[in-house]
Amino acid sequence: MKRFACIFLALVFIMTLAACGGQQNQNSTPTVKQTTNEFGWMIPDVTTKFTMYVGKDNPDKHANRAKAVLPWVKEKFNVEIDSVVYDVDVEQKISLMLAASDYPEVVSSLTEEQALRFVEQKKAVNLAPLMDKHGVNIKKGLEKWKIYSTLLTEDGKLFYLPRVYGMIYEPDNTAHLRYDWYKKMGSPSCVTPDDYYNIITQMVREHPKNSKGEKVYAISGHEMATWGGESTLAGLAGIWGIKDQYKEDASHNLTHWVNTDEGLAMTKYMNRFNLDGLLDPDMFINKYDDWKQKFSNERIVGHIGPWWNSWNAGHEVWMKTMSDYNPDMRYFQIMLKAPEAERSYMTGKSARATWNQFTIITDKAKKPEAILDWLDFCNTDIGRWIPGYGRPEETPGDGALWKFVNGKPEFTEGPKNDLIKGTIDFDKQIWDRGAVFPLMVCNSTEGVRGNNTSFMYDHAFTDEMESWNKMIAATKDSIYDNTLQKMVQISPSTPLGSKHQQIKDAIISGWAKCIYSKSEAECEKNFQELRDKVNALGLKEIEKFRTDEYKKLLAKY
Amino acid sequence: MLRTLYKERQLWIISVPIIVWVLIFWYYPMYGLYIAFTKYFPGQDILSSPWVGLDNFILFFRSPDFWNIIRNTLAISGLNILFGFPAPIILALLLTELTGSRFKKVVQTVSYLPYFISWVVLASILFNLLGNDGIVNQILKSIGAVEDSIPFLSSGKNFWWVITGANLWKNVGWNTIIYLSAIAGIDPELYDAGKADGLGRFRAIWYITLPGIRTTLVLLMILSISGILNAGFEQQLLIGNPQTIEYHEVVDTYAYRFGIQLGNYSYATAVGFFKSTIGLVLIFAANRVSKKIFDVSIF
Repeated sequence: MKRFACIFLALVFIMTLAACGGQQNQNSTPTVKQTTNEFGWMIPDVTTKFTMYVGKDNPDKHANRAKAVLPWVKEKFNVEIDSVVYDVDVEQKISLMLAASDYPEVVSSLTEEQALRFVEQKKAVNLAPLMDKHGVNIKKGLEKWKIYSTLLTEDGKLFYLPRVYGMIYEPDNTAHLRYDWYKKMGSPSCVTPDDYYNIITQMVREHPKNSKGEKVYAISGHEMATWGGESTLAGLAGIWGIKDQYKEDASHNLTHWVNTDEGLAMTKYMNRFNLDGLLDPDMFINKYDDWKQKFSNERIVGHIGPWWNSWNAGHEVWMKTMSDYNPDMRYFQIMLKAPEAERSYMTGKSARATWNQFTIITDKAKKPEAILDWLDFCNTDIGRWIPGYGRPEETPGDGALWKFVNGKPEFTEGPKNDLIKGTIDFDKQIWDRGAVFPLMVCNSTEGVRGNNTSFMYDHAFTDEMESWNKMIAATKDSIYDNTLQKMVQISPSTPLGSKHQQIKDAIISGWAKCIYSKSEAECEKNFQELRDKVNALGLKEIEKFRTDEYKKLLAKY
Repeated sequence: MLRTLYKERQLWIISVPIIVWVLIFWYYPMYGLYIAFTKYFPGQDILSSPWVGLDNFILFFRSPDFWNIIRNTLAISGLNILFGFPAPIILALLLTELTGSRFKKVVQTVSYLPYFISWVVLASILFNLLGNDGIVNQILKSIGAVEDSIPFLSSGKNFWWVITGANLWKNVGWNTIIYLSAIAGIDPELYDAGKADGLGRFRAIWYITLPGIRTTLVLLMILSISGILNAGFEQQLLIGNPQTIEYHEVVDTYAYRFGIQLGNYSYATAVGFFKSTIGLVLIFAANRVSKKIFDVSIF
């Protein structure tokens, strides 16, 4: 019996070993032959699997969008991507990731400073040696915009890639006008800030209250302490010829608008609205949603800020909520230029970091080259349709934004017609199809329909969209290349970074005091106080740092 | 010592889980205070971060915002103590004097309710009440009391009062609980004796109730003084805005914005450590003063 038991156990042991050995063999020498799919992608025999962090967003919404495209990517490409977002500030999330050493294979939506933090801690993979084999299309794209070298370290290493690179010639900041009211006024010329002031104050006089009897204001603002304020200030300063809040002289010295006469002029301009009782008293309290509600309730007539603000808060709401909506009931965007300014600089664009976000492949990636292969494929002529527009049509009329027929990608008609008609629901018809957000971590801005288009779905049909073309035509002269100035970064985790934040806080708080002043003289006095305060806080030091760094970059590139 | 421990062994055994809990969750994390003296970046090993000594503290003391932050913290805390300390005592005394038990319960419940409302909801209520288009301004305008809205929430000068009022409203009911239980512990015979000696309601409060809860009052006063640098956090972040920042930035919000949000963990820890040290000094000082004057102390 004992002997039988020993033989049995020995056999079991040998068979187990053989089975394990067999498994190991299977892993190391693939038996499946690699094939190329209809998109020209060589399907890997072993599934390429990775998790991608793509920033701050609503996780449920994101999961829904990801579900629309990622299972299809797995099925067709054998690439299994887990695209995740968290409803937490990116800075806090990545700090926690780093502290716990718990971060995914791909981390995107990072500022350059945040990406550098991964690099400093040796947690980002050097992609330079892989680029010629696995990142050919990305490299070609970056070189086309002459930005590849700007991403390399002194010793030629490449640790991060731009999330989106290249130029989109759409304005980030514009002045906004209500089209039907403007037409009713006889479409007067609107070129200077004074023209704009006269037109929107006239509109308020004609519509002093909205349909609910609430007071209407000529101008307002939102998220003034963060992105909304940055945008409004950059746009306003741009009207007076200041680039991205810094005035550049002939020797490339940079001076913050607070230290310029132009800064005082734009402050007095905003104060005029207050003196006439036309400035929203909640301008510095409004969150975007508060502002959107007021705007869509027709309580705010004008706006200086991102072009999409008045689209999103204006006609996109009215189309859904108003039974008597007519297509003229919308906003259109223009550039303004102060007579004393040489040119308008309302929107600065950077080809190097269109969204000012970067992507790294981390040391958690077991096969970084396989991930890079996928990202590179997404930069091919066919591949970029996938991160751009999600899954292609499987059955006619399934709502997909594009289809792949006879080896060629093309847009489907339904959503396209809705877009051109202006009746498209962006959330349901575009984003929920898996476009852009789940997969876009390193892509060119370039559109699939030629040079005037971009990767954004709505930008693909700008030729057919009259309102879009009008906006581009009316604002193009205020757009400028700001790549080098945007490359100057002040790391927030340094003493200068803290100072920078203190100065930003003081500027917003002091500027609010200026524009709500009760007289022009008080406004000037408050402006001088603001200038003195921020200079005492170290604004001159910031100006010097930016100037020195900017000049270094000018000399280098 | 050992004999005492042995004598009280049952009590010590019962306390073991709590002691372990305190050691793990309160004392063990304190080793993290070390990063206040280093230049730490998340992901680095704490002990191998470069030593910077008192640099982070000096940076905070030299910060142009330092005195402003201390002023705001002390002002908001001071107002909270000034109004927030006596208010629950007064409410507890008033509730004790109520005779109808049903009415008393309703009042108690209603006064506790705001405590359970989160600051997020409360901020929204405040915006609807006190905003430029809020109910209060609408009423004031409709009766002709003001022409333009009063900027309750967008004026720095009003902020301290708004935040004090909000804190008071939110916490007053909840804070009465401890006083009500202290009052309930007073021997009813004292009131009967007082009544026999001709004491009215107010004099009974003065001569019986207040002395009866004196120990509780002093203990809570010592604790409030030690927490004088805890001037709030969520309320400032939610109700504050760029126009009020000069008046709403306190030690905790500063540590959060300049430390956590900017990734300066060492700096945030230094600011927090400074706050805790002041709190510790204050608790010892207040305890000593109270021992001397009232003969009541917490240790």
